Amino acid sequence: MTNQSIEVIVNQERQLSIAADNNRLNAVISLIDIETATLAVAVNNAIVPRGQWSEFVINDGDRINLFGAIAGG
Amino acid sequence: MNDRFSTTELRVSEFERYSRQIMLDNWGELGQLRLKNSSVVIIGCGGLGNVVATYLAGAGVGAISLVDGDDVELSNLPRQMAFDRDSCGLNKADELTQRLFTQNDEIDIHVNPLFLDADNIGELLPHHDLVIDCSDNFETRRLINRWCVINKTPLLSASVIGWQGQALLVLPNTGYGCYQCLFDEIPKQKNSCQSLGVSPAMVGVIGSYQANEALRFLLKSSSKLSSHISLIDGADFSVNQFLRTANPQCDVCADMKEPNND
Repeated sequence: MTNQSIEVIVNQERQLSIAADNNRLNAVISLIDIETATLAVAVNNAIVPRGQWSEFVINDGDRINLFGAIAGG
Repeated sequence: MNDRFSTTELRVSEFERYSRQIMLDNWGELGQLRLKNSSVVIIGCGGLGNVVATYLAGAGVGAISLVDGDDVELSNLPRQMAFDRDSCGLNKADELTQRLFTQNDEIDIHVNPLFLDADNIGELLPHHDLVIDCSDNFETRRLINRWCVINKTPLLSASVIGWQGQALLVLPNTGYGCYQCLFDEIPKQKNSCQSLGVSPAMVGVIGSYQANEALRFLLKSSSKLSSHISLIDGADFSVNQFLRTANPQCDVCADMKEPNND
C-alpha cells in the first residue's frame, strides 16, 4: 500500500496525488498551501465539520472543495 | 409562521398590483395572503439590503423592518440602487425606507437607523417570521446567527465580495447546523466590499437570489438553501451547493441537540 497513491480534485481544478496510506482529510488539506483556520471543507459536495477532518477517509476520485467565509453585504 | 392570518382578504388594488405573481404556481391568493401577513427584519441596508428590501416590498411582504446605522457614501452608488447623490451623508435605513414608501404604500415599514449590537438585538429581531442578514462584517453575522439559533428563528444569510457570493438558510431543528458550524473562526481579513471590492452587478445577483429565497420561504415553498450552502461565482456564473451538517463542536448550536428530521 505504501507505494500506491490516489488522486483527488481540489476546488474543481487542481489534481492532487496523495499516498494511499495517508488518506485522512486533514493530511490532504495539509498538502495544500492555504490558511485553514477559517475554512469550510466539502468532500463530494458534503461539508465535513472540522472536528472530523482527522478521521475522515479520502478515496480515489474524491472532489474536495475548500472555501472561506465572505462578509460583504 | 402559520396560516392564522390577521388579515384574511386582499384589497382590489392588491389583486391588481400583485396579479403577475398571484398567477404563479404555488403562489396564488393564499400565497399573497401569506406575504401580507408576514414580517421580516433586514439587517444591513447596503447593496444586498437595497435589493432584498425592494423586492420584498414590491412583492407585498406585509411588514418589513430595516436596520442600519450607516450613512450613504458616494462609493455606494454604483450598487445601492435605492440611493442617489442627494442621499449621500444620510442614513441608509432612512433613505431606503423613503424609497420603499414610494414603491408600495400598502405595506408597513419600520425603520431602525442604528447598528445592530448585543445590547439592542433583543429588541430589534423578535416577532419576525424571518431574519435576513445583509450585513457587512463577521461580528454582526455571528451575533445574528447566535440570536436566531437560541431563539429558534429562521435566518437567511447571504454575502458578496469580488465576483463571489454565498447564501444559506438556517432553520431551527433541522440538523443541518448554523452559520457558525461552517465558519467557526473569524478570518483575519475583513473580507468585506470595503477591503476587497465588489462587482456591482454581483450584488444585484446575490441580492435577487436572497430575495427570491426569502419569498419562497414566506410562501412555504421548498428551498435547497435550508440544507445547503450555495457558492455563486460571477466569473463563470457557476453555482456550487454543498450539503451542510451540524458541527458537533459548534459553540453556538451544539448544545441545542437538533434532530435531523429528514
